[in-house]
Amino acid sequence: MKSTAHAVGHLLWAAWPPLLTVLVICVIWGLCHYVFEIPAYLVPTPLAVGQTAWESREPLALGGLRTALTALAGFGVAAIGGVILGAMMGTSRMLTRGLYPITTLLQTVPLVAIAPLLVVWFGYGPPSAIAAAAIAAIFPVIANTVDGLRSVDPGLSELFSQLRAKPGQRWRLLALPSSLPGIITGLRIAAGLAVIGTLIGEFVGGYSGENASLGMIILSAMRQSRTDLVFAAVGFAAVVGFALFGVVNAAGWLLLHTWHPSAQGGGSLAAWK
Amino acid sequence: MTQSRRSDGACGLELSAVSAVFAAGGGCTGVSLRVAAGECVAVVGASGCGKTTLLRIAAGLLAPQTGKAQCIDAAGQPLPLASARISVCFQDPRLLPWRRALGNVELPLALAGEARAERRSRASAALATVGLQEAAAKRPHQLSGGMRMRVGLARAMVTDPQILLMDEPCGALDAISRRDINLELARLRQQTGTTMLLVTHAIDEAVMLADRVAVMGGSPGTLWEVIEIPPSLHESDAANGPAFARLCVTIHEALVRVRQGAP
Repeated sequence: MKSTAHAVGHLLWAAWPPLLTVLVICVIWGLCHYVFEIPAYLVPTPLAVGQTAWESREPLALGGLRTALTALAGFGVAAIGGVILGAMMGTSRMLTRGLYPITTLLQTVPLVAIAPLLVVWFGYGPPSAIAAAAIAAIFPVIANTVDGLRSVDPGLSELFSQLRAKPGQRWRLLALPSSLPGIITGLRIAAGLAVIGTLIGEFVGGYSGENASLGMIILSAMRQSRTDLVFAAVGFAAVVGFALFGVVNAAGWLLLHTWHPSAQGGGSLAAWK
Repeated sequence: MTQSRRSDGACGLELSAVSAVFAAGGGCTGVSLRVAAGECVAVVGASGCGKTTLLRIAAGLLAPQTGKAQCIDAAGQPLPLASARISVCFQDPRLLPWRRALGNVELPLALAGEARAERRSRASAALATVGLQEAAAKRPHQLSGGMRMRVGLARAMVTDPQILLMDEPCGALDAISRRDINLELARLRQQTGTTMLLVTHAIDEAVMLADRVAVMGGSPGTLWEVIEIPPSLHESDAANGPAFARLCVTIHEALVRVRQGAP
């Protein structure tokens, strides 16, 4: 009970400064609207956005849920695939030389350029959006896994040699835990990228009408010059991204807080305050 | 002097003219040193004279470029290095930060495939020998430097090693923690008769623990002389006596002669 109250207190303590910031921005935004007489089709007032969000809450929430599930699936593919690929590259120099440039290339080709191809391959609807999310999110997972595996403490590595550890044991008991902080960092970045990838995938190949996801809602609202609905849908997309990021962060904390300085609020940066 | 009380075959160490010289400098060359089963030999010398290199060769972590490192049984017959149970205490304790103290001590047993219950009870016993049973559930970052070193020592002892190699086990510790660990080592030796090779900077530590002290010097390092320590100096109150101090001075003078290049 005490810890629950503590957690709620901590959440409130963490939430009020960003909430205040949002409130201040809305006030300034409303004032600008009033003073400069900006037309509503360019930028709607915060109140109009709020009203539209409330009126369209059902399609927006359903669309948000679809987008969230798609992003989650894409994130899952990127997380599992990225850790496996990163692990392969972290173990073998030859594989790194063969695969790393290709993944970097994948990273530098704009997703919007390959999204139409994904629709051709995977068809309309969620599958192509999942693929887009996975492609957008996989690179940081690979890069951070490789980095984590390469930064295993050489002293500990020597200890495992002296104790005659088998390759499998070295993997399970040394390499994996050592690279966990890096993998978590990669997953945090991947969470945000997965939502961006999903939206791009939905722009190009999403369903419209009844089964519309957030990407399609944004696109069709744009075509109808419903700027207020675009704003509301973008707000929902931000919530989806924030939620996914929050889940990854919480999982990372659970795995690391007992031993890693990054999860104890006491890394080297704490000394800078 | 053989003090071994082991039932499973005591094991010594023989280094015959081993060399490992590095392109970047340092290492050791042509070192021959025999540590009989149950004996403790300390190696002293200036930084960079190849003490750690010698220890890594003895641990099988570094293959000598020339010469041979092998174990010897109680009768002095050679055995391959890999056939003996060798534990190493490194300069830093090298604990896994994600494992609790008990889990760290269990590590060598886990790698050897021991059953969970067996390794838990053996690790608890080893932690108790170094006086840390209360810290079993703590993680390394929650322990002091001296406690971490003791966890490292418990991990080295948990496999009941025939040979214990130590690289400045007390190098980073304050005087009181160092004294505690030295007493601990002396007691372990009395109890188990483990063969020990101790690399150290501290002359008093060498005299307190070792049967012989090997003085190394130069770069790449060579063995200059070996000084015998009378067993009477290992008694509990000997460290305060004049004989102990005289021997420390003798070793110190040897180190100074080595630095000036005149044996």
